[in-house]
Parts: sequence; structure tokens; C-alpha cells
Amino acid sequence: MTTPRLSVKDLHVQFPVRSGHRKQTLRAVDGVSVDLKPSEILGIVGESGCGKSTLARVIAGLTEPAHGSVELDGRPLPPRRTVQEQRAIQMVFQDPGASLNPRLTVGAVLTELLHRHGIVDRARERERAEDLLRRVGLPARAYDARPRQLSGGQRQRVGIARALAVEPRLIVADEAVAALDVSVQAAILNLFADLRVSLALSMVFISHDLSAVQAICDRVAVMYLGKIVEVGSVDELFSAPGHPYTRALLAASPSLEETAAVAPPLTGEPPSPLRVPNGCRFHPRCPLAVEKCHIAEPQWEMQGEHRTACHRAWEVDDVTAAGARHPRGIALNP
Amino acid sequence: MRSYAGRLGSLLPRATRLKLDRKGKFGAAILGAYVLVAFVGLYLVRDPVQQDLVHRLAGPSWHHWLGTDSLGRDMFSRLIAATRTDLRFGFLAMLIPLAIGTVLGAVAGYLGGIADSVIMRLADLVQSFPVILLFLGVAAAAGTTDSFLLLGPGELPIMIVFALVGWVVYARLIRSEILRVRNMDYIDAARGGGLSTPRIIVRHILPNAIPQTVVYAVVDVGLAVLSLASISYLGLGIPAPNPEWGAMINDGQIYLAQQWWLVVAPGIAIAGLGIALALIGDGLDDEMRR
Amino acid sequence: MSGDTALEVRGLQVSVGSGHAVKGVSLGVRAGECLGIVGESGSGKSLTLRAVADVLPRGVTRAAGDVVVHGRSAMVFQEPMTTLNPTMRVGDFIAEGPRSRGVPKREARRRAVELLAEVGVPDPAVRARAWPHQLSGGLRQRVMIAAALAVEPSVLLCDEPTTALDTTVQAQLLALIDRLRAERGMAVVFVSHNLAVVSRVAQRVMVMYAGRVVEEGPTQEVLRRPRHPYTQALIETIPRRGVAAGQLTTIQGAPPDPSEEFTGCAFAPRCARAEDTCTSLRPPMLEAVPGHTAGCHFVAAPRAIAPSKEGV
Repeated sequence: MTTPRLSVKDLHVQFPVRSGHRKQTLRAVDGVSVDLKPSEILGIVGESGCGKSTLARVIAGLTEPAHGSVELDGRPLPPRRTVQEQRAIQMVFQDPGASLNPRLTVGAVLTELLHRHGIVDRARERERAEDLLRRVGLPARAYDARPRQLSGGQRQRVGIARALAVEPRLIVADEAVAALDVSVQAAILNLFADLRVSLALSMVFISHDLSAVQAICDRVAVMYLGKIVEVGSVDELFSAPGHPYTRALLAASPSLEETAAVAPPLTGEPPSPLRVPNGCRFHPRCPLAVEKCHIAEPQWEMQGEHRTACHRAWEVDDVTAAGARHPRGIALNP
Repeated sequence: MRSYAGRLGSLLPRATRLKLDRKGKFGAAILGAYVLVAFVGLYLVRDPVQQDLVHRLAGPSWHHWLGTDSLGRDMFSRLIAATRTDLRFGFLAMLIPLAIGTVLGAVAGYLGGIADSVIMRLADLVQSFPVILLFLGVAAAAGTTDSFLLLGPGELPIMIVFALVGWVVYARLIRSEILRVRNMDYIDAARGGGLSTPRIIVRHILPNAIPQTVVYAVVDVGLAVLSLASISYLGLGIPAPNPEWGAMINDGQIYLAQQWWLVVAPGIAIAGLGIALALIGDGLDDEMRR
Repeated sequence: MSGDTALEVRGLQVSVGSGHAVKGVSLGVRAGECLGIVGESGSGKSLTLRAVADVLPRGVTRAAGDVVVHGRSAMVFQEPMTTLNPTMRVGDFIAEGPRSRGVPKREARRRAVELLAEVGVPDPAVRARAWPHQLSGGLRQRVMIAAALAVEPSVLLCDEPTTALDTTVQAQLLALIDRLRAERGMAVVFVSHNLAVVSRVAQRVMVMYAGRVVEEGPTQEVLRRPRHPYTQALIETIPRRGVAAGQLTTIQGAPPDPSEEFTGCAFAPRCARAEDTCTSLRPPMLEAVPGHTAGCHFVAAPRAIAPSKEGV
């Protein structure tokens, strides 16, 4: 068995929150363990506030965890990374408008990084930067452009070139296509897929868009309130989801295949990570919840490589039907 | 490789390398005229402090374009001579607080924690202090101080008060801008790329945090001139006999009914400068919002 | 579903600076019907809606065209936090509508609570006293819808109302809008960049490109048998099962500048099957089958376009 490219072990991230006079602790990431093989793309999905972006920042070394470790190729990375360790994992951000310094040209952004890490000598900097631009599908003349002269899709390509510039071993893309137009989204997803083949790129792909995840990921992890509740290959997870939450997400995801408006299978909204429920943290919204779910936190149920943390994993096939009858929460289609 | 100090030096031009719209250009033209007058005007007019008690309070004539004041001094010469004093004072009264405020604001904004608390409480303290008391306190000293570097006789104590008070606005502006820029994704990208902290501050944070301050600084020159005029008007400003617009208004006001131009001419000079600077500031602001 | 016409727009043009960002849009919506408007950024879909609601941004004006609303219209925006008044309790905010029509204060408040209940806010009497910042994004958007309903609109205009929300919450809100349309017999115009979202609420869909309508018809008919190459491409770019990574269809080139004028078809420079006619002559809206029209010279002979892998 090969050493995983990335191995996240029992990761916890907490933020102090002050509401009025009370000091509380927000458990953004609450015990996450997940592995990523070399040249694999792992998707992480979940609603806002589930901790997926915080997880991305910890993996990229931008936020320090309270507990747990991030290992790269079997070697644990310290909370404060050296320049070399920092270089190994690069991030692609959501908003292409905010992720580029408006006062620097594209060339300045790229050569600054090449220079910092001594990747090429000064004389060949421009040549190397133009190579990077071509690699992400931009013309070499983009070198002299400033961000405001570029479209959203072009800026996102620059953001990808910037991540590739330091020759990382892993890329973390946080909602990297969410702010783009549909046709541009497809082009960026194609680019990621091409880079994975041509550069043997490993990637953590964070998204709330299940169709994008399905298009480019090998495996998917579903997060709910700071914990991973299901992990599996894209095929297994999308065709036979084990967790009721995963099924609810799939049902809510807009797609062209269905016809009339269907009853929403999930009621209510994601609860606050300040008040994590006891037992299974999904039980207040779960259509299948039983007594046990209120008390005991579920352990992993395995089906080969496919894991689900649910007391009633794979138990009921049609959650949609159960959801429509479910009395708790907001009744939308009475 | 160039030093960070060298890069800091190139920061301001970079931040202000902006096109101006029409009203901004109009303001810049007026300001240019004031600067020209400040530099060469003094050589073209007669001695502004030469008294002529025989021709006191003379009306405008070919010989005295704006008449003479209560000591028979040529008003037009004094108006021109005061341009240099007021402009020089205005710019220094902007630059010195700007420098202090930028450093303190940057430290407070980037480091946060205790440094932030100490600096911002100090700012609160300064802002809650009645400034006029400070001016009363230095008024006595002003009469006896000599020239100091770029400052004329009696100006040093006044400038110290301006510096003590003026940095607060700049510190607050820079701090809030830094807090805004710090949270932008491109700062995370720079950190993630392994760039050093000084480089991130100088190349990524400050150039994006400073422009808003530059806009205020331009307008602030006019405010400083106005403040100087106000305290001179109260008799606490630059000591006689050196010509200064505010002091001239103070001198002339008792003759307002007969020789109204003694007050109106320096008043127009102050207003014109203020409008020019406001137009430039506004123009810069509009350009930056694009 | 075939109620009376609630909203009629003829020859709408919206000018931005020297050019036109909306270049002659006509549409009609009947009571109890939802029309979806789909397009990418710069297509003019939002400006069309804002022109109908008479809330165009500064510097943007309605240059030509007629807008006839039979009854009242109300609008729901993408970002509820910037539309709700942060200094008003949400109940009072909703009560503004009835009060402006002379309803007494107490009665208006009671009405606000009823409306909150109608849009599915739990504990409506308690929530009416909440401040906007105390509510989640989904609840805020429900409050916005309640405030829109407070003016008893015959036409509800929705500008990407679910784009900023989670998919689970989005699904709830789409169901809510669908239910309100059916129960109240309201006409709804729903603008979105997302075809799949529109397909959940709209009976009819209109696709816009470069300020013009390029295709219009019953939603399922347009999705299953798109007649305009742009619509076809838009559908094929959506990632779906069975399409290998890296093989997603994209559209060559970039959308034109919104105010650019074309003599021919605006999509021709990016269209895989464009011919000389396309660049010289602008195609009129042609009827493919009754009720389904498209602005393409080749409407009569739809053909699958060759997928291309380049883009942006």
C-alpha cells in the first residue's frame, strides 16, 4: 500500500466567540480524519458552516489546528510551517476578484513566487511565468495584465497558475468554480482534470455543488457540523448513499433530470456549530432518527472503502417519502 | 536587490499614480498656481513687512493694488508672501502627522493585540483633549522660538501641537484599511506562497491600504491651513510681523466696514486653496472607485 | 394555469452609457404562471427584471418599450441582508407595505405575523420581533418574500433569490415560491444563471444572450429539445453523470461586451455551426413548434453541436 499524499488525523479547530458577555467556543472542525492518495482528487461537500473551508485553510497552513495533525507523504507538518513546507500545499480561492492583488501585474505575482523559492534564475523568470500562463490556458501576453483587465474566468486561471508556480505536491481548491458563470465553470473543471493527468496533481476540491464534484472527483467526503459523516468513491456515494444527510443533499441538488418541483426532503437549516447536538449531530433534522441517535454518537459502518457514520446506514432507501411525512420542522408542502 | 526602505520610498508615487478627472485637473491647476506664487511671488513684490505710517489704510491704487493695512504695509505683497508661509505650513502639518500616523496605524492594524490596544487608547486620549488649551499653552513659547529646519520663526511649537493631534486620524484610517486588506484572499495567497512578513506588508498590504489615506491627506493640507488661520485669527498663531492669511484677517477685521478688502482678500486666498485641494481629493477618490 | 395576462413587456430597451444592454425584449406572463429567465452575467436578464420593477441602478435607464403590470409588482433580491433594513424589526419591516396603504398599525402587525406563517417561518409571532442580523440567510429570504407578499402583488419578480443559499435551503425556497404561485395565482418571473434551478419552478423559460431573447418555450420542451445552439451549449456545459472529467462541453470564446451591437447573430462568433448568413443577418424569433421559438436561422433543422474543449 502506498503512503497517502495527504493524511489528516483527528483534526480539531476551535474559534473563541464572544456573544454579549458570554465567551463560547465554536468547534468549526470537530475531529476529522481523511486520506488522499497521490494524484487523486478528493471532494469535500457540505452546507455552509459545516467546516469545509476551515478544513481547507488548516490543510493549506493558513489556520492553526487546536489538535490533530496534517501529514504530507507520511511526514507530519508542524503547526507553523517552514517556507519549504508551506510551498508544498497551495490553495485556489473562491472569489477571483479578491484573490489577486489589484496593484500587481500577473507577471509580478508569478515571478515574485518563482524568485522567493529560487525556482528559476532571474533571466528565465519571464519565460517560466509565460509557460505557466499557457499551461492554464491563458495567452502569454496576460503576463503584463492587471487583474481588473481580466474576466472572472481568466482571473481564476491566474489563481491556478499562481498555485502551480511553486510546484506544490497538493492543491486545495476552496469553492474554486462557485463564483463563475456556468460555461466558464465547465472550462475550469476541464482544466483541473487536464492538470491532474499532465502533472499528476493531487487535489482537495471543496464545493457545495455536487454536480461539479461528481464531474472531477475520485472520492467524496460529506461534512456535517465539523465532522465527516460519509466517505466513498464518487460512484458508490452518488449511487448508494449510506447516510440520510447525503441522500438529502443529493435530493436537494438542482439537476436537469427531474421534472416537477419535489418536496424538499430536508427541513430546517443547518444548526449553529456553537450548539452541537448530543448523540448523532444530524438527529434533529434526520427523518430516520430513533432513540439511539439522540444518545450515542454513531461509529463507522463500512462497505469496503465506503464508510458511513450512521446508526441506520443504508437502511432506508426512500428518504424523500419519509421526509414528506416527517412532522418535525417546517412543513413546506402540507 | 533593493532594500525594503527603498521600496517604501517608491510606495507613495505608486499609490498616487492615478489619472485625474476634469474637476481634479482643474483643482491641480489652481494648486499649481498657488505653488508657483509661493516659490517666485516673493521676488516680484515689495517688502511685505515694510511699514509706511503716512499711508496707513490706503485704498486700492496703481501703487498699492490692494491698498495698505493699519501699519501702511502693502497688502498685495503681504498676501503673496503669506502664500509661502501657509502652503509650507499646510503641507508640513499634513506630512508629519501622516508619517507618525501611518507607522502607528500600521503597527496597530497588523500586530493587533496589546500594541493595538495601547495605540488606540492613546488615540482616544488625544482626541478627547481640548486642543485649544494646547495652543494657549504654546502661544507664549511661539513668540520666542526661532526658525527650525523648514519652519519659520515661531512655527515650531504650533507644528508640534499639530503633530501631537493630527496623527490620530491617519492612524485610524490606516489601521482600518489594513484590517480590511488583511482579510483579502490575496494576502492568504501570499502567506501560502511562503512570502516573508515584511514583504507581505510592504508589497501587498500597504499599497492597497494607503490610497484612501492619500485622498484624505490632500484635503488635509487645506484643513491645516484653515486651522492655522483660525488660531492666528484668535491671536495664537504665527507671531507678527510675518504675513499669514489668518493673522491678516484678524488684523483687518476692525476696519471691515470701510476697508473690507483687508479681510476679503486673504479670505478668498484661503477658500481658493481649500477648494483646489478638495477638488483634487475628490477627483482621486472617484478615480480609485473605478 | 391559463389565467389572464398579469405582466406584459414590449420592445424593452435598457441603455447603459452609450450602448444598450437590453436590446428589445418582449415577454408576457399570465396569472399563476412562472416564467424563468436564464442567462450568463452580462446577458441583460437582471436589467430586464429591474426595468420591469423600475429599480434600475444609477446611470442605467429604460430607453424604450412598454411595461404593463396588471395589479402590483414586488421584487425579491439576491442578497436579503442588503435589502432588509438593519434598524427595523422584521415584523415592522413587513408591516411597512400594508401601513403605506393606510392599514392601521396594529392590523398591519397582525398581517405581518400571518405572512411570516404563510412563508413557513417557525414561531412567526416571536420571529416578527427579531432583527435581521439574528436570522439565518434562508429565514431572511423568507422574510423578504413575506415583505413582497405584503403589498398583495399580482406579479412577483425574483432576481437570483436562492443563489447565495445552501442547496438544501434553496430547495425549500424554490418549493415555497412554487406553492405561493399556485395558491395565490400570482405571476412569477424568476431570473437565474442556473438552468437546473429555473427548471424547478418555471413552466416557461426564456434564454437571454447579449441583451436579446434567443429562445423561449415550455421549460421541459426547451430542456429536452433546445433549438438555439447557445441553449444547447448551456445545457451541455452542466456537469452530469456519465461525462468523464475533462470532457465537459464548454463554449468557445467569451460573451460579448453587453453594449456591443451586432449586425447579425450575437452568438455567431462562438457558434460551431455559424454560416455567412449568421454574421450578416440577425435571425428573427422563429417558431419551431407552437409555443416554442428560437432566434436562430436553423431552427427548423436542429442538430447536435460538436462539443469543443476550449473555453473562456
